[in-house]
Amino acid sequence: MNDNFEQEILKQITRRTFFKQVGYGMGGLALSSLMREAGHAFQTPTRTDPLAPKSPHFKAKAKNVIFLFMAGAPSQLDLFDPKPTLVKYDRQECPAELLKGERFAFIKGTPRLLGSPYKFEQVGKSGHWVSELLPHFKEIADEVAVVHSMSTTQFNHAPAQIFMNTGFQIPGRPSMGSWLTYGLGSENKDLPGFVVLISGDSNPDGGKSCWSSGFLPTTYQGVEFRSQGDPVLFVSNPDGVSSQVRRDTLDALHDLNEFQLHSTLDPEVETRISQYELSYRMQSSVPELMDISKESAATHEMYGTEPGKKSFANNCLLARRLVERGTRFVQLYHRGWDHHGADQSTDIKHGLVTRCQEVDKAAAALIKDLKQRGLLDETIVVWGGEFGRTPMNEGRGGSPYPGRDHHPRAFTMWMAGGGIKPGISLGETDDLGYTVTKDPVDIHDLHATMLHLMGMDHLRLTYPFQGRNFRLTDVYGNVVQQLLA
Amino acid sequence: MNASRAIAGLFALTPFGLLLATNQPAQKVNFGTDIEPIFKAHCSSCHAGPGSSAKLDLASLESIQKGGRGGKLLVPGKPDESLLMIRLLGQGGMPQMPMGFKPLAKEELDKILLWIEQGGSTAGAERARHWAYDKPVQPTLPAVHQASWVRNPIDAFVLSNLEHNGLRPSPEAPKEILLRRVYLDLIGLPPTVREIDAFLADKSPNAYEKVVDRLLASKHYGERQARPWLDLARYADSDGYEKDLNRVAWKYRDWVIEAFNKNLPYDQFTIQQLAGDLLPNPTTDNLVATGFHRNTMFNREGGVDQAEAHYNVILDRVNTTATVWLGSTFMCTRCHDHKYDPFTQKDYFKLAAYFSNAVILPRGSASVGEEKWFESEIRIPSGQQTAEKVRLQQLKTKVVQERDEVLKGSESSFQKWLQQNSSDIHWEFIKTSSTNSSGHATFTEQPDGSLLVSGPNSPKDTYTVSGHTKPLKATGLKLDVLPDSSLPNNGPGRASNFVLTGLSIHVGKQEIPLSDIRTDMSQEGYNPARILAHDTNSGWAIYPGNGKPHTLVVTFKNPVDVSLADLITVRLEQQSPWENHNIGRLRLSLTDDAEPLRSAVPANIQALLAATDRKASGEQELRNYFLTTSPIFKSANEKVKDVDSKLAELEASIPTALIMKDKPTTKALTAFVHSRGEFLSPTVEVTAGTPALFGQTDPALPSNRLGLAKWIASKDNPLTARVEVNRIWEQYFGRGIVETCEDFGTQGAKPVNQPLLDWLATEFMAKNWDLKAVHRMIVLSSTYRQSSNATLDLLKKDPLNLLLARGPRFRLEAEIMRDAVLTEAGLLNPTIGGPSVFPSQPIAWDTPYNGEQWMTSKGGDAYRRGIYTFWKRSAPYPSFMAFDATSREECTVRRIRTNTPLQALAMLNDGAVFGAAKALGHTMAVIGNSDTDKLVYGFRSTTGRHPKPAELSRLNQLLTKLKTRYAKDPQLAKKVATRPTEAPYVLTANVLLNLDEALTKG
Repeated sequence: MNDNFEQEILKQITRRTFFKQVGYGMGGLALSSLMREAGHAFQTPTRTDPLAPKSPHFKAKAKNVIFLFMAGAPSQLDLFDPKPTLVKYDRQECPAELLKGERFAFIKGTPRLLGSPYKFEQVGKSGHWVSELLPHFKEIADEVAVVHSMSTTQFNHAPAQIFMNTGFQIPGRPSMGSWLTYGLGSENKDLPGFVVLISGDSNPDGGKSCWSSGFLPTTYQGVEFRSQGDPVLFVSNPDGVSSQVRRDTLDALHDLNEFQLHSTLDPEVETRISQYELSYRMQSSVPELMDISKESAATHEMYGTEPGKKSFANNCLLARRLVERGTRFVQLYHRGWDHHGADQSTDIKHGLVTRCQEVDKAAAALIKDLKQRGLLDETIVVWGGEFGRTPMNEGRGGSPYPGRDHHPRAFTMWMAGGGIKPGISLGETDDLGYTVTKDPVDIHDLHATMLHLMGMDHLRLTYPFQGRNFRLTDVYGNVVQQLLA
Repeated sequence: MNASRAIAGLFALTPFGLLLATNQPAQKVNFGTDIEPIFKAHCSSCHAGPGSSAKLDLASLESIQKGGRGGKLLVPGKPDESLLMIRLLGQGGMPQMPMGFKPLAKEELDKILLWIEQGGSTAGAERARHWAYDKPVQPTLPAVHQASWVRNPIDAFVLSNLEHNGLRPSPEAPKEILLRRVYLDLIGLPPTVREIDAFLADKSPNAYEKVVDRLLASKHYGERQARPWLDLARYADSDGYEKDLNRVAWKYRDWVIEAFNKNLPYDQFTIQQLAGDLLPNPTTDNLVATGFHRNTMFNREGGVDQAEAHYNVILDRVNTTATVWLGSTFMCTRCHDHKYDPFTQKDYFKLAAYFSNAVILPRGSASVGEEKWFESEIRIPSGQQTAEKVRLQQLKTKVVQERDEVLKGSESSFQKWLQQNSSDIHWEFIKTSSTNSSGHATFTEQPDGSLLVSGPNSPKDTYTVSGHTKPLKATGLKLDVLPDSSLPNNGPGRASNFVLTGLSIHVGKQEIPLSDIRTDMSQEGYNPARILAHDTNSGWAIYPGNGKPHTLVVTFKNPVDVSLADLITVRLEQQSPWENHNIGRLRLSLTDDAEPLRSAVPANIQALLAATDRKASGEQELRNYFLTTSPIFKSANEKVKDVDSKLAELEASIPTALIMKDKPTTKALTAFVHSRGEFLSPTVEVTAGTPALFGQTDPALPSNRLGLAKWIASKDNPLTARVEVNRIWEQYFGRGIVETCEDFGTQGAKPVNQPLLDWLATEFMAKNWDLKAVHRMIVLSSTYRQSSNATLDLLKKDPLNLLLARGPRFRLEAEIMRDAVLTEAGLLNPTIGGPSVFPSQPIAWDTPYNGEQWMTSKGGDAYRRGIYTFWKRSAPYPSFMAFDATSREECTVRRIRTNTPLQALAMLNDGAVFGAAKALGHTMAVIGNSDTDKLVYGFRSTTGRHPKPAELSRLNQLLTKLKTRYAKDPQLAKKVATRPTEAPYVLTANVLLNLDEALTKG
């Protein structure tokens, strides 16, 4: 029987070689089809492409996510959450009841309150409050739902960023992008399903744990597209290897591996053959994606992009190009919002201004661009950091520069598109902006809501590990109904 | 709808169900073995223990019979009327259970239905104690039909299972295939063509045994076995978290390699790692072993709560200990009693108590807002370093003697110095005429003649101050930095602190050559003498002396005549990486004194000098100060200083080992239980102890880590041996006998062959925990030697090869892949041990905090085995990550094996692998007489076997095509090989290194 089988496979390979001469395009021979043709009524063990698109639990509002992560934590009190009371008591000692039992990262002794030096106005039909630091926000205000009542449990950068991304403060759990690609696969078979783009001072404090696949297979890990060198590691051929030479070698590799498949009948060989073919396709799809030079002048003008530059604006444009091509989850990190006021470059009068200028225009452009291309309806865009900033001045080491310490109890994020109710404002904080007083939303709720919009029930998207089913939302999380369109 | 009609057919056997025939229940349903596991799997997350949803506690037999808030659960004999069945099927208008999760499988529903039909009894039903918590008993060898196949007891157990399932073992793998397999398994390196030839030529019946024994004795054996252990130990060369600073911890890695090589019995291996420091008279080796638990991550981010950080460290140690040795998911019990296994939250914190007594030390000086603390470490010099130290110490004795000669008769100069110092040296202020700041700061002259700096505080700044003095023959310049209330923390720097990195003085247009620098105090890690070298990474900083005045004096090589007309210009450079660290208030003056350095006297010396009543100790301190600073003794002192600095340099180059060390205590070790595991919610205090499930521990054991370690490594522990032999089994066959190597609890996978597991575990202990004996027995078994080729029949009956009717076949691990590629290309540097190395990689990281960088290794270090690659937790080696290595942030028992396009890209294009293709291609180009010879050599190098005719002809076809391509484009060829004619071989080698067979152990 085995001999006949061998004959059959050799015949197939010969036939395919013939096809190749006629014109390329015939894919690898599936083990199962070979076996069928060889007369065996047999299915190979189920081994589909782990990134093949999968059906959601229920009808989804959104297909993709773009998460604009403002690493370092922007000050909600200087951008979205105006507090006249705080301005009134500017530089007065903080009421003792707020400090009782609190832990701060850096504040020592009795701090003084710090009113925002910026003017706020209400913009759009929605009447969202926004400070003068974000002049472009008004162009998209009516597309956006602003949540003033976010809170987290972590008050240091690395754990808080890891918490925001994985639902747990210690590294080792899968990130939301990994969960989504695990649950839904990806629409583009020539690009990774979960892409990370980084701009700003440095890498986010949480490091690669922020886009780790944790205990999920590494196929679901975020792939960092770099702005210098190969955008995806090793995507370029080595010097002296033309694309023709590469094709020659891959053809030979394909045939030799098929011999191997035949003698071992190991389905892994079949997967390997198809992954080598995908890698070849990526060699053209990735550079094509990264080349923004052919975008129109109007687009470049709108985003403030310059081809070849490492910037948040370029990354916003790439995010649009990625979701256009079906990438499931795109995450942008823009680092440098940690405005403690230890010196001028990190205070809220100078450092914060620079950061706002870097993101304001491009973030607004992204929303407008997605909308004009009809992509906003199916794409959730989220903007925010890992926690908020204190209503008190930090004054580290007696610094004269105004700055705010880490504040996990209340902060602001905004979301748009993909089934988010546009123009609404959710949640309130007290007069000093210290705690949430209405409609609290925690990180697990945010995750549950995002999953819901993507058609996934956060209770059912599980993975068995070390004896129990794990979820992105751990044992918490409620879908925030008010945010749904 | 009728429940029993909803379910058709009872106990339908899936094809796979056949495999577990031995575990199939009889028709009579048993609550403990059939029903309770279903409840645990699907219901217990809500319906177990106190606080159960709807007051239904399925962990309590009473509650099962009584029911919960919804009423009685069971109507014996009538599944249709039983609430349990109704809810599980989602009937009666109520949501289907388990709510929010997948409904139960048909087989499970069938069992419950049958159980209720049979009366739904829990009374008298023996609640099965989970198999893994009873000590393994050595099973007798099963009788088998094909007895001739059995080489050792492993085969008997495997074959018995195969025969039970109607399967036959596969034929033995061909010699070449087997050789490559056993090389990769035992030493993690493929055999060379020469080694293959030698094996093929050896026709003796024990040729294979000889190879096995040679490999077990190879020093590379330890490297291969350390690979997975370092994942368990979460070994890395950096701290993790935000800062992720480098640490020197590789001594532990080398300890593991050496422990495997000398075949340290597993009980000793365990005890030394968990508690080597608590052994009587621990050796250095014993201490290094405790690095196991010092491999935990360590958060040095500013603003971290020290107590919380240490709490997290302790919990990591508990989780890791339980996972590695007990195969138990203890992390669940951090927050609550285990939902599935018989462990409580109290058990968890009782274990934590063992780790609660570590010595915690403050580390050096803390910069603002950053807590710095550490646990114990030791320094371990190499033989060479020890010898060098002895040499330097002898030299020091000599130069000290020489100096003491000079010092004889110093008493009179000392007394003179004391007199002189009682009166101040006269300093002439430089009256400022102009100032400049490269960062546009402004200077305001103060009544005391000093300059206060304000305006922009640039990241870096250079001040230039010019002025005049009375005429004098100047011998030195003094810089006073002064506090001021306008400066942060009163200054004297504009960042409270400052860093002066360079200084120069002009009189007129003449630059004055400078001689010596002295300051009254200087921050640890800074050397003011480096100001003369304009070293931007050193200089003068004053933390923690903030808020106080400080003085720097610099002497001139030769006295300089300064006239009234001469413009004196002083340049102060502040170019350190510490931004905004500029001086806030300063004053400059000149002197004509013979010994100007006497003005830069530390505050304590100044106080002693001023004191009227000095004690003898004060006198001695002054004398020491005088002898080490007075120019009279300069040359003699410098010789001593030189030796001292060489000693210090040597000392700094001696590697550290991070070790565990406890505070001495006579009290019982305790820890607080934390509500929901949260650091801020301590509740009751518990004392150190082992989990209650396992009963009383031997009272003779000490109640510290050593006691814990001995309890773990005891032959009475039901888990330790099983867990280890199971992991070893996984190394060889790709899957443990218990697939969930990390979880032997009720939620873990059932053992595919428990008699085999128990036999291996008991034999392991009977042989006194001899690891090499286990490895040897496995690789000598017939089971291991089978061909890994599947047949259609085998694929159908056992697709995952659980029963092992064929040999193992799976992709190599990340590090081994690198080792294999380097070996096949003839590039591997086989050096064992030593500091971690930095092979080339496309992303060279650097750390923003202290300038640590990926400094690509040169020479042989670029070709070391993967296990020696520097492991940066936040930026692990990218090609390892592509092949499923982990960041080593926490203990990893099993790496998931993926098969991705990124791996294909890495193997095809990564410079390291392509470099190997160049080397192999070159060898192919120069070896043999014909292309066939060359291709056969290359193919054998990467796969370990001779190619079949079809394979050889396909390779020839490729080579011919590549020759044509590169002949047409010699420029392209030159980019690949120095000799353009070699290019086609390089690309052929690129293919050979990428063959599935090359990436796979088969």
